Amino acid sequence: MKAKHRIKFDSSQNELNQSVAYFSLFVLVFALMAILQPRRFLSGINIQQLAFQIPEFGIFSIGMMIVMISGGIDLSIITTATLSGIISSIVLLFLSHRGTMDLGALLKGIMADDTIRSGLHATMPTGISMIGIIVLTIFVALAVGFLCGLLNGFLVAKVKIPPILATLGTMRLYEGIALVITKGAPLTGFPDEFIFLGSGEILGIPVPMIIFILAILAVATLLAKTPLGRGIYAVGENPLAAQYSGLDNSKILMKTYAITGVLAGLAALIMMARVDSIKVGYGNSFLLQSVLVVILGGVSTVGGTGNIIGVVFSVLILRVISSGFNIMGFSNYMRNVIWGSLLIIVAIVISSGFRFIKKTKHIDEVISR
Amino acid sequence: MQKQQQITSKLLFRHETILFIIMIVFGVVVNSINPAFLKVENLFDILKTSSITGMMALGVMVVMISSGMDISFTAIATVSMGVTVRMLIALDKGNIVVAFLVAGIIGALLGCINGFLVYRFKLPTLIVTLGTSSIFHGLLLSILKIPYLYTVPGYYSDFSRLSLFTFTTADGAVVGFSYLTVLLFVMACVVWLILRFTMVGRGIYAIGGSIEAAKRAGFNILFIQLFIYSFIGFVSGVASIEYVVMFRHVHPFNMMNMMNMMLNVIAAVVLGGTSINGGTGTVLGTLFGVWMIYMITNSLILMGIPSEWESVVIGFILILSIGVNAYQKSLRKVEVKIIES
Amino acid sequence: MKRTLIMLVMVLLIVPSLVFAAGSKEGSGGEDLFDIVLIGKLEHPMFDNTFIGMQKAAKELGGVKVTMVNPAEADAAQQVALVEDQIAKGVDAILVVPNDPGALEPAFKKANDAGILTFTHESVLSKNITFDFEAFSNEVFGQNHMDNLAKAMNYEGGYICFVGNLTAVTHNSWVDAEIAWQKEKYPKMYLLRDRLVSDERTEVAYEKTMEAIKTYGDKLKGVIGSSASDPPGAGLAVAEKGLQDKIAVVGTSLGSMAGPGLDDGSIKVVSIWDPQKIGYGAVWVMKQVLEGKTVADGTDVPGLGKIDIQDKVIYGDKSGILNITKDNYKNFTF
Repeated sequence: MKAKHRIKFDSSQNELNQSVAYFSLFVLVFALMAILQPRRFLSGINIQQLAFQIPEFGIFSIGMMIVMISGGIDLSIITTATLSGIISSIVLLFLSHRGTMDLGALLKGIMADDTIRSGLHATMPTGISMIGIIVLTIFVALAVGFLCGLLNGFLVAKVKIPPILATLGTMRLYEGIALVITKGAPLTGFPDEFIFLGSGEILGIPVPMIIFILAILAVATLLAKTPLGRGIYAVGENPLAAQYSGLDNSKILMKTYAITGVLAGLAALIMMARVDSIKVGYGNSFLLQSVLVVILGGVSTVGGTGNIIGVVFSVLILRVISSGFNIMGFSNYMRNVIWGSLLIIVAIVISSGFRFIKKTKHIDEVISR
Repeated sequence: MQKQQQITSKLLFRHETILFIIMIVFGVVVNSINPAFLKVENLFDILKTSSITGMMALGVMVVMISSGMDISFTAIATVSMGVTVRMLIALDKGNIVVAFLVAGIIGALLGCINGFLVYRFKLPTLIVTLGTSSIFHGLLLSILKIPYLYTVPGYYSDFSRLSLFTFTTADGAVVGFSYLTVLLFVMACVVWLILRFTMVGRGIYAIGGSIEAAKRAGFNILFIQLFIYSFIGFVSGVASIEYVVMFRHVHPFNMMNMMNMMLNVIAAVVLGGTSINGGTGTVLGTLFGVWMIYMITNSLILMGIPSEWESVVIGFILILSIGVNAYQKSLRKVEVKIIES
Repeated sequence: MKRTLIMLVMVLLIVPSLVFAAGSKEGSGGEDLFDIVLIGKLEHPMFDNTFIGMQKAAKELGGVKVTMVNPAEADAAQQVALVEDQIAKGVDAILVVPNDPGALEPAFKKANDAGILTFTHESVLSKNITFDFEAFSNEVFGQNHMDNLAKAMNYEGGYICFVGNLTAVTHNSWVDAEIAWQKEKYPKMYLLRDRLVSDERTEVAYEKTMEAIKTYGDKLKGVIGSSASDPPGAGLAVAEKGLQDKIAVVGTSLGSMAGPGLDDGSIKVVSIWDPQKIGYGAVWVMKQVLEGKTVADGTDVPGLGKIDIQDKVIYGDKSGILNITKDNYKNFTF
């Protein structure tokens, strides 16, 4: 009994140590960049840009983290965002330009068939305020993300397709639907009130950053304080054990993927608002990067372990370093080499740290016996 | 009597059988839309173009059986392609056999690095190969500075025209069975023999089951890990020369175009029945997986599907075929449970 | 814990040494030069050549320092990040070859707000810029492709067109122009199906051309490629089937890439603009603007010829098209 208690204490201690390590690494990297390139790196513009660049990538990474803790992966995360971005853009453009300008010209690119367009137009309600339109847009984006995630969850949990394959398939599927809708053309020209979500500031803090922080808090609470959060860890650690302990694995997995989908929809909103357009192919390079960040953040590749603090700090570290690299003018290739080395070195540090702690744990057990 | 029934049901539920049936059904459907699909010429062409992916898939399969994952194989292929072709041009010597061997050896050496890191530091294989992938590719471009090469020595393209045998079809087209396909079959046989009849092969499956158990059973883990990762390096090197043979150029990005190449190969292997968690996987299943993916992606124009629908159709068929397979598998598990009880 | 600490210290020691090792390469130019940065779509000889033209201009015209940074992959988000980094760096002017014009607008706006001039190349739709440089209009280029193809396939038969991506605006406008021009000029020719997508990869263009040959049989007489990898890929398929005399391949490509195909007759003509000339002309114009001078319609710009300014787009001479054939491809370095 005593030993058990001890181990538990140890593991939370371990988590704390890990967080401290990540935080110090972040401070160190930041300080290093600041010392090397004080004028450029610490300039107000650069710091602010970092604050604008981090959120969308950060939200993708948190989404990826949740599914990876559950022992899966979501390769469709970027195309989920694309699809929800495109569908919500259509809603936004359709409603916000209503009555003020030529709707036909606006939608010509989107819907080739005139009758569908005018039919849709006739059924659209009138008199919604701009706030209402934006709220509706946000809702649509999150809802599309939710549905995409739900399909992923269904394929993984009910049809029992390995996550990497299921989401590879839906990755193509969602991208394809987005292509069919737009024929590859970009959607642009969002109202200023919407752009505020991506490039506005409240009390000097960029709005995307505020959204990011809220998302972190929400996910952290979900993982730590709710039964679902504990369920996600349990399923990731050992699905069979989770099942025998009375958990409904497939329900948990469906919810996990749906949450990731919602986060992808959220990232889509920020992405849309930041660049004032949405198109198939936006953010494709985030996919592997987000996997990398999650692994760097200490989430096990087979699931069951990992916490949001590590992942968030990894996001920060990655962005700070790459911003520093850009300012210092490294070639992409050299940057890749440094990235790869860093990944392996950090992994070695983390794993030997874990092994060391495991050993002490073992000793503790022996002693308490 | 009961035993015989069990054997039939076992064969029926075998992954390869199901995959084969799906392939046939798919082929017949496409063929009914466009009869050009099931012509020998087209089938031989699919075998030829898929041989590069097939070669890499064999390597990925071996890694995945050992419950590892290697995503550096595209980077290894790109490096061995660039270095080999440049080196042989600089030496002004060489022939196709030398090219295959040199590229294979370079690939194997790079793979050894992966194997060593995996063994020595007990790191997750995904992390190691994610890291080395950027290191290898980055070094190729920043230090070796291998440029694009659009003119390669004649022996590469000569090899692409070689056929094991040729014949003329009823409508007058000359059809050849490419040596690239032969190479894939030979490699497939080698892998099958290794996995089935050698100590190393059993060790790979054992590691995939449980590395601790394998160690206790007396397997030399270091040797097996080095073998696994240098093997995938080797086949990636060979595949990279196949790329030069087929496309007559050296390109530091095309093969590296990771998203497509890498995910396609991994998808093919998993579709072929290799478990991501290790321990299972067959050569035949992997080849079926590769051909299945190639059949899907190379029948869209034949079916007259508009380009913007391409992704939807590929995604849909992929989910459907994998879904049927996975669903069958879960049914089989239930079946086994019933038999056991 | 001790060991974790030791490991951490190790990392702390290794990281700076890496950073310093690479950072020491950074050189700084003179202070009073105009700092112009080229951001290409990705690392590619084409942009290297544009940059060579820019370097040549910087050397000959003086007063300008040029640098180049490219994203590792042709991705819009990475380009946005690069532009933002240049803002932080505080350069004078940025010349971008956008992967996606729309995505860069806010970043361009930020750059303009910070007093940095923004220019683009191959992007007529960009808004927050001073000028966009085009060697010629998309329409003229597409018509040129169709003229080449029509001649090569003897003005009759079916043809197909490739685009690199459905999202590539330029490729799609070339193809639109090709089809419109064919309908107007060459009534005996016909389009076999809507545009095919090559992913800008040789192997995809090869596989899809193979499939098209099987699908359309004798009806297929011509292939037009839009990305530089399309004609080589299509040419390989044609050569493998021994159909050099029956199917003509033309399109956008470089002499170096299309060379083998031009030699064996599977590719008839490829067309391109001279990237070095564009780079030279762009620097000439940018220097004028940075010095506060105006550039008027009809000015004779070295590298671009007599320019035609429409709104914010500077079109070069119609003579800017370089048609590369079997006979002359060895004359060009790209």
